[in-house]
Amino acid sequence: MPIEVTMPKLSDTMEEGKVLRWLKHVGDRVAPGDVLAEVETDKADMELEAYDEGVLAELRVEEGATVPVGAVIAVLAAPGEDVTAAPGENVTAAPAPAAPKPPAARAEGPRPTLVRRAEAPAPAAAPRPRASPLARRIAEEHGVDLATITGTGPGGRIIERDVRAAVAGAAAPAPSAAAPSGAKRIELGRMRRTTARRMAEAKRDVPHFYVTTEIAMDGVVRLKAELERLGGAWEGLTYTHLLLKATGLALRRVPEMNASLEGEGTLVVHEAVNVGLATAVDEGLLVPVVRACDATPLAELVRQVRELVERARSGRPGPDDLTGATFTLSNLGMYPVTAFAAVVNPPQAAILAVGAVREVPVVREGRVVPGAVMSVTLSCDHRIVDGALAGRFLRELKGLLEAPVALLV
Amino acid sequence: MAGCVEYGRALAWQEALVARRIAGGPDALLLLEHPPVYTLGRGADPRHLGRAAGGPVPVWRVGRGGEVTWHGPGQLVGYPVLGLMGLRRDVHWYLRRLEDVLIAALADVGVVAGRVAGRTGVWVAGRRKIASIGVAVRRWVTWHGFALNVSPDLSGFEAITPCGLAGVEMTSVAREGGPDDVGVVALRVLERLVGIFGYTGWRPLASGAPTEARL
Repeated sequence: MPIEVTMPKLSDTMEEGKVLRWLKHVGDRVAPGDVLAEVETDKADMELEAYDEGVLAELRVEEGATVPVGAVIAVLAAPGEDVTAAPGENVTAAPAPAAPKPPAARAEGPRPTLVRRAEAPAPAAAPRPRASPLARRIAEEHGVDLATITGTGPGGRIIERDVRAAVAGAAAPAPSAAAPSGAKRIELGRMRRTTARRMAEAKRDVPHFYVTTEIAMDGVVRLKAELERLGGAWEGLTYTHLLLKATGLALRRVPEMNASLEGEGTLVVHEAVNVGLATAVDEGLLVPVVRACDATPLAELVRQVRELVERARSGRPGPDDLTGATFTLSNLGMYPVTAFAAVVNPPQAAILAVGAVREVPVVREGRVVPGAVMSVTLSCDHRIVDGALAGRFLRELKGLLEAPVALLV
Repeated sequence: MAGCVEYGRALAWQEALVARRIAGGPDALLLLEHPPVYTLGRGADPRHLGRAAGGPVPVWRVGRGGEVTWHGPGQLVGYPVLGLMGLRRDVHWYLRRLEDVLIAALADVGVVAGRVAGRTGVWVAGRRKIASIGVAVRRWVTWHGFALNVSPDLSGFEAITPCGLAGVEMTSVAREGGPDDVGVVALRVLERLVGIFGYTGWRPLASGAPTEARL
């Protein structure tokens, strides 16, 4: 089904935009992320990217023309789709569109090489939900009914990320039927069921062992308070951000902990330090991935994590948000949890479980004084991690958190 | 402060910074000067090049908004590479904030300037243009940026119709009674940018590079 590309709204105050230059021509294949055109508003030139996959069927607007926000400027067709067919029919057997013409004939304006009849009302019995070909394919692969998805693409169209979110999301829990025992029955959603399966596998296949340490957090508590006072980019700073940074740096120093088991005999030591952050969402547990934790400056981490968690919680994780983790962090410190041991996320080597920061009596220079302490437990895959390695990693982590100025790189 | 960086090299530098930001890296700011060069925005009318077309000074057409302009020694050029997705996904807002940064920095060095509605840039007395703005956005990451005349030889502007506006008088900080040291103004711009966009601070990166602040 043909997809319309419209002039995007790049600002609250933007009413129209100019198409400066087409970077794709009629007949070109287009993949999501490809730049279709450069559009201008005020003194800003923005690269307009495609959301969908397809073949560029039509360029509606000439280079240099100004159109209102929302106006259709181009049309994409599904690969092989014959745009002359009535809407609702996907004539996949049709030959590819006739010889593509780049919009070079400026004098006459771009000539569509195909005649669109998508304006005509659909004769189909049931209206097909508007969705991109890619979205349609993914939905089919996962057995998701497009009618249950709300589209967030242009014109309310269902696009790839909507389907991916639905796949990761839950089916609505069924209302509880009154069971004889008075128990409430809740159907587990897709996300919950996937998590359940993976957890069972992990516990079954991974020989876990656990190593705990307590970290003096007085320095971190002070640093956090000082940074929060600065406001600006430090607004919303949490212990999680500081822990992510410390974990990233510790992994950089003890790279064998930033590793995975491949097959049965190969240890893959990863180049990048990408830490998954176990996050509770309505439907269950998601683990968005914070990339380059070691190299990203702390202030930038605050921003990244905020965006990442927002996307995860709103049910719209980005395509790379949930992949590529080399290690996982799980923080239950917002609850009165002293310590806990998490389940390793295969094929990662380990997962770090962090409890609350507590005021407890500590011994300093032979005296008992109050101090802020946090317990962390590292759960490790004993096929690739030994106690000594776990000990080294925790020593680095403890060192970083107890002298936290190191986290401000 | 940075030395003179050839235009093409600065472009390559920006591309790298943009790619880094898209990949999750930090925001950054390049502050530098260029050897004499004319540039045209993607949608710029080449007729505004006037006598500069075919002359000895190189001409570049680049993917930024805006018309034709001149860069040269004595002019502070700034290329903020900022992730708007972490600030506000609104390009007009971004342009207005850039204007605010320059207006505030100019006030810091004793030059009273402001904006003119409908004429993006920074103006003295509403009619002498002291700074030009032309930005690009890729995946909500900004590049290109602004050019603030500190103490350049303004004759570079005479051959062209700057920003496509006929009869506009170009001016500079020095002309308006302010300092003629680009470095002094650069520092003020950097501090104002940090403040207005809400960064906590900045850190210089690789030595030997044009002054590049990682925000």
